[in-house]
Amino acid sequence: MRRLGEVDGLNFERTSARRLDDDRWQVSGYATDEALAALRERGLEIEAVVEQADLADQHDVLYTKLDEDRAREAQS
Amino acid sequence: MAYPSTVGAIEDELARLAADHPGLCTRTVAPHRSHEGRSISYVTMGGGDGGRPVFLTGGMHAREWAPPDVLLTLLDRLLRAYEAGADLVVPAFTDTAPARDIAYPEVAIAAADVKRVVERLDLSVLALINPDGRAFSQSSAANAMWRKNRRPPATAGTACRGVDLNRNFDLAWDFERYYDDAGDIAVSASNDPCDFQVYVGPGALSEPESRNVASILRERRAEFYIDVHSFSRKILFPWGMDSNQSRDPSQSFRNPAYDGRRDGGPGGPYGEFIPRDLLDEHVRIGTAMHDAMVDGAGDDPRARARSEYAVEPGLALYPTTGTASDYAASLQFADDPSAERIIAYTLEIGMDTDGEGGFQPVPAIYPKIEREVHLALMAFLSAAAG
Repeated sequence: MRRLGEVDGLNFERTSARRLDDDRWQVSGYATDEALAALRERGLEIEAVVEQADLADQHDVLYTKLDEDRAREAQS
Repeated sequence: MAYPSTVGAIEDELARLAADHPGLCTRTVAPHRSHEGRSISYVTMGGGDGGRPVFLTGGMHAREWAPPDVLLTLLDRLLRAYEAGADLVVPAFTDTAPARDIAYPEVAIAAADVKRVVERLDLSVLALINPDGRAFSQSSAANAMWRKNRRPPATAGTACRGVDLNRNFDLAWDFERYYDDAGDIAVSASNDPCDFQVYVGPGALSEPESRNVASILRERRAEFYIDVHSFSRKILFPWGMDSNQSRDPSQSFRNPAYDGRRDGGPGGPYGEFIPRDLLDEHVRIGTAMHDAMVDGAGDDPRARARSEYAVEPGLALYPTTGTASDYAASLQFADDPSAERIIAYTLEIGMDTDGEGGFQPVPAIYPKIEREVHLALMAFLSAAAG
């Protein structure tokens, strides 16, 4: 698991780890395409929770709101 | 205050809370500025002299955007309800995402409970520990996953910046000395300044942001503490640095005879001592927080399932060192005969599944997370108020 932290482009949440059975754990995180390829090379199973395009849409909503707030703060 | 808040909006909200509730709410600037020179403030509410000291923190990890907002809106609701002599109302919410349409009911926390919490507690809230990190994470989507603070690189021209504040507290910070070889390999900590996630910093409490938390914990002698993070729907109690045991007090972080011999894993020969009554109390209050969230979700089994938080020790897949909540709990074992019992948790709010957005929920789902955390924290505050 510690070595997962060394995979470029992978940001996982340690506390999301849960035991599936005696040999397998599951952990959630965010990964770039390159990180996904590196994880698959290590033989890890990957399940997509949110597709990259959906995550980009979510970020669009969030950063648009933040940009508007910062513009208002700069004016006041 | 609309989620997600900027660093500026959080500072403004702290000032507003103090201005709108004089005599009940005080804003204090923490002793240490951030690396980028930002002042960091917290608010104190309630009982004053004689109130039981409680401390809530959030915003330690930059990319976890919901915790500071959740803490400030709770304070706002608590102060308004108290001054009006009214119930604290946690609003209903309907998750209208396609194929869901899940309704969560309004929940009213009785005015008498609000009064008890406000008048019996001396509550401090440091909603945003790490403003530099949040500002960076919110600067562009490319930086969304930033976790650490913004400590400048030790060597000019290198890109290795930042310390994981939740590995920087003075408890087992020197993990290579603390664990045996297996523990060293397993632990979620790194001495490499270029580690993107868990660099422990150049020294224990080297960071102004972690020193602020430590100094408030110590000076206010907090007896109840929660550090709010995201995500994974978990209520984590001590210890995170090793498995718990209540048989052998000599197996303790305070005992240097075990340095280099602690395994850091479940079921190993070493287990960190926690008195049975202290462990039971953590489970009892953690369960009360859990129940408040599930009961507050109403009758729809989908809502109840999405409000299930696991109550468990911080040690999961592997150990962690230098965390704020373990550090807070450790203070009761110091050589201080007047040290009171300390109840401490890390609360991991929200989820990556069920459309909850992981580290950064979208505004449409944020009220669901906010309401369940308010229910949990009110249960916690109620337990602290006795």
